[in-house]
Amino acid sequence: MIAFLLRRLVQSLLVLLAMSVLVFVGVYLIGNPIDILISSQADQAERDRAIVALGLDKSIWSQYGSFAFGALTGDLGKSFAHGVPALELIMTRMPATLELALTAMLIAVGLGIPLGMIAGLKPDGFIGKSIMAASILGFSLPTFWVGLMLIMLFAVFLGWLPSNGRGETVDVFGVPLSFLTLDGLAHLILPAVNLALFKLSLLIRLTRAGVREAMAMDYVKFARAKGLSSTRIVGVHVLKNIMIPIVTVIGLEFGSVVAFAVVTESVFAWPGMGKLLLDSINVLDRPVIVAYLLIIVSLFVFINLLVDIAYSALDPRVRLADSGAH
Amino acid sequence: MQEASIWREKLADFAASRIALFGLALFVLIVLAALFAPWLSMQNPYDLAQLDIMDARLPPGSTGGDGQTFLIGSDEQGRDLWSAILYGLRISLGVGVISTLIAVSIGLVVGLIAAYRGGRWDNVIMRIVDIQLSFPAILIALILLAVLGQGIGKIIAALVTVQWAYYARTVRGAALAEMSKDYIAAAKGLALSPARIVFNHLLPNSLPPLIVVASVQVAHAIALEATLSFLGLGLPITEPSLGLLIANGYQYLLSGKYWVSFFPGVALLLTILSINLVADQLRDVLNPRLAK
Amino acid sequence: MTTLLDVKGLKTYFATTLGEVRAVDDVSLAVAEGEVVGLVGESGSGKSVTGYSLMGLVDAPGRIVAGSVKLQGRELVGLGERDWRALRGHDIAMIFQDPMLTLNPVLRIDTQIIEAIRAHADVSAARAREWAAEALAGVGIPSPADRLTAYPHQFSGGMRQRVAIAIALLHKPKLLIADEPTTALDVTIQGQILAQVQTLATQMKTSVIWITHDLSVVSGLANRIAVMYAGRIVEEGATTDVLTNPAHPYTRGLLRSLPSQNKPGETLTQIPGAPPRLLGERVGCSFAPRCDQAQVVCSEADPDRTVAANRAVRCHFALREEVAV
Repeated sequence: MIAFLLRRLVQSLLVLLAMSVLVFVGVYLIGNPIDILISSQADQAERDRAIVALGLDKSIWSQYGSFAFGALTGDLGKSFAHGVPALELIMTRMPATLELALTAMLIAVGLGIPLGMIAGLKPDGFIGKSIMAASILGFSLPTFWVGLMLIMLFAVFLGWLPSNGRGETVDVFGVPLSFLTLDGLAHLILPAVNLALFKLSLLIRLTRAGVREAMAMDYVKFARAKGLSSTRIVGVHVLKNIMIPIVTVIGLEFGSVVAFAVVTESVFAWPGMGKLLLDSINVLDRPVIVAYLLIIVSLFVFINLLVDIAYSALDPRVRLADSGAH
Repeated sequence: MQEASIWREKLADFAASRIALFGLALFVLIVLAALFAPWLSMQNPYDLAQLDIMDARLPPGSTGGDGQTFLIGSDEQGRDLWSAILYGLRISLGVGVISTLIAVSIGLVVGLIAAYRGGRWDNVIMRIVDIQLSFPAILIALILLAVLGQGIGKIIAALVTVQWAYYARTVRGAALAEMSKDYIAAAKGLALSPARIVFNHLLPNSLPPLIVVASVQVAHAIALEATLSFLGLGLPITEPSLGLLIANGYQYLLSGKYWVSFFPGVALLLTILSINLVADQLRDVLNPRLAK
Repeated sequence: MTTLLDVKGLKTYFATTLGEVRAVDDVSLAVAEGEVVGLVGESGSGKSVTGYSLMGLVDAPGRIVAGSVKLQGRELVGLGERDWRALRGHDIAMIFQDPMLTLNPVLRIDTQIIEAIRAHADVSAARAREWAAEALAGVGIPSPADRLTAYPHQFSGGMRQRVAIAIALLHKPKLLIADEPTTALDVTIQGQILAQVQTLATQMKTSVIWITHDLSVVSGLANRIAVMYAGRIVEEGATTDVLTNPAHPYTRGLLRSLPSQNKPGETLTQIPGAPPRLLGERVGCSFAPRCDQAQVVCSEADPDRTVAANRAVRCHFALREEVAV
């Protein structure tokens, strides 16, 4: 297990290294680095000074070296728009995004797995068919439009919930969180539901397909022949089998939820890093874009690592194949 | 002849689902509406001379200054929403379909190369595919547009970039399964030309899964374009696609003028839904694992 | 001998979009205590569905539409799920064809044995564990206590089938339904499993219904043989009688197509044609289209089940004179 972890860790670091090269190439070589790294409002003298200061007159390798060194030490330049270090800016916005993404994922998992199991156990019943119809609708609904419609319904027409911002937050270890206050919770619910919708549909379909496949397996028939209760069969035999693909997908989709938060955050004016990215793209605040990219890549690599660990913990075949036993 | 009968059988399987047929009919209707937009709409929404700012943000069913009826209301420039939606559909569908066609072509070529050449080619190509697919499409598209700037060509380029890897992986998988069969080894042993192996065997066998993935991806591409346009990174405001129409209505939503965002969204939803219904059935019909 | 299981006129149909599939159509079969009955037939003849029907494991769209299944006089058809559950694994147990698939791949062996123990017996965790190890030892698995914590993929196919047998026999059931448990195994392993089941069944006085497509498998094992064709038992009788004096043309065809019945150099005989689809109304004898002795009456009238001299046959032209001798 430890050897497995170490190997995955090394692999992750290699991916990070490769991605840093890609970001470097994208930002420094394809685009005009002067345009990307120096504010467009700067005059010629400032530009010349900046070129030397940024080392753009040096060789590509030494440039990559200083970029990588900067990235490692957390120095990715200052935001043009905010005048503070880009990385710091992202980090202050990250908790809001993670809170939103985690809540959304919780909703998607908490509803998606039970609904998918019901639909999988009774695929031809009215309820099963309704769940599937709802999930295909959920797949087809454009997230941003649903966000607008949620605002229209719950904020404008019914007036039950606020339409933007995080509301009142409470600091936990210096990190502001919304879900601990009633007001914050009221602000959180619409964007979280909005962000959850697509993944909810995905999880319903995935769970349903998994349950249907598992229910048709001989081991379920054998379990029934042993005289086990259907609760035990579904709750242990079926669930344990379908959890393997589901946990993998949940892990991988979490990254996509964080990325998709860009859309939801901009609809609900949620002050997360997705909204920050969008604002930065609009004003061409490039250091922030670069910082966001590197952060999100690290996040993805980290999630992938977690998924691999969870996968090997759940599936004995993988676990043992890896340690060389038969 | 046997090939033809297989496809006919698949067609019959497809038609067995009423909901899929409904989706297909809806999709055809939407495509027809987009194609014949000039004849079905009361104005050209892109011709500013035809717009009257006095008609702005009229609710559904209102009568405009020239006595025309705004069936589902007008937007902030006095555009008839019905006409704007029909023209917007042209852009949304056009961008979605064109980008999918280009991406399918690239994916097909790259996937076949990976499967046929194998070895280092396969390794490099699949490593790129894997890395790309581990990042959400929206993120890649956002960054590309941030670097490239806006415009219809650029958004197509972005959509192609996020899609090609799916097709490459699908084609490679199908082609590899075919490559592992004995007759391909025999054909290679006979020194049959690679072109014949690729075109007569690998290509036809890659098509069913490719069709399934493409049908799903067209819907994704259309949704993604709408999302990017909504975020202000897609198409220019002069020729609004559905996403931009929805974005334009956002600011009026809070004052209760729902229709500017609502109806274009319904059109977008129906388009994506119809494609998804068709794609769902295609997957069941063309999936070799489910076939008897 | 006392009758343990008495099946009368059992019909299990499946509703499909094309119509009703009569998978089991009017099957009658009795199993005495301690008896081993071989249920032989081609795939699709309804022999597995018969087994599932006896276990109450027929799933929608299938259902038992008629008939009676009595275990020691108790009617099982129409039993509620709760009663079935108490019965399954306790009074009637079943093992399946592919041991790779019958054990859950992600659960440890001990979990899968102990849950079966506790489904029917209220015992302590320690006692359940002991019991599980004894059960493994009983089917010839070496160092059973250590093997308990293994996962199914760590066993070979034959060992897995032994584990499945151990689970099925945990509560010394009155009846074991073995649905082709040796088909997926190597020939040498087949023999071992066969012998193992025979020994254990004798020890526990468990009756066995051994379902197979292979007459030679049951010839040395079964007291009686029932031959199924198109959802029906076409011939049933004592093993030696059936093997030496087959009354039904289909049984004769089966026997002739056994490689061991063939002289070297001779071409193998086969039954021409394919099994019928079990859809729609039954007109005439189902075997008629493939039967070399079919007459006009065979395609017009469905033969009844006739019993004579301990032999039940469904054929207009059963070879009774030889039986009567």
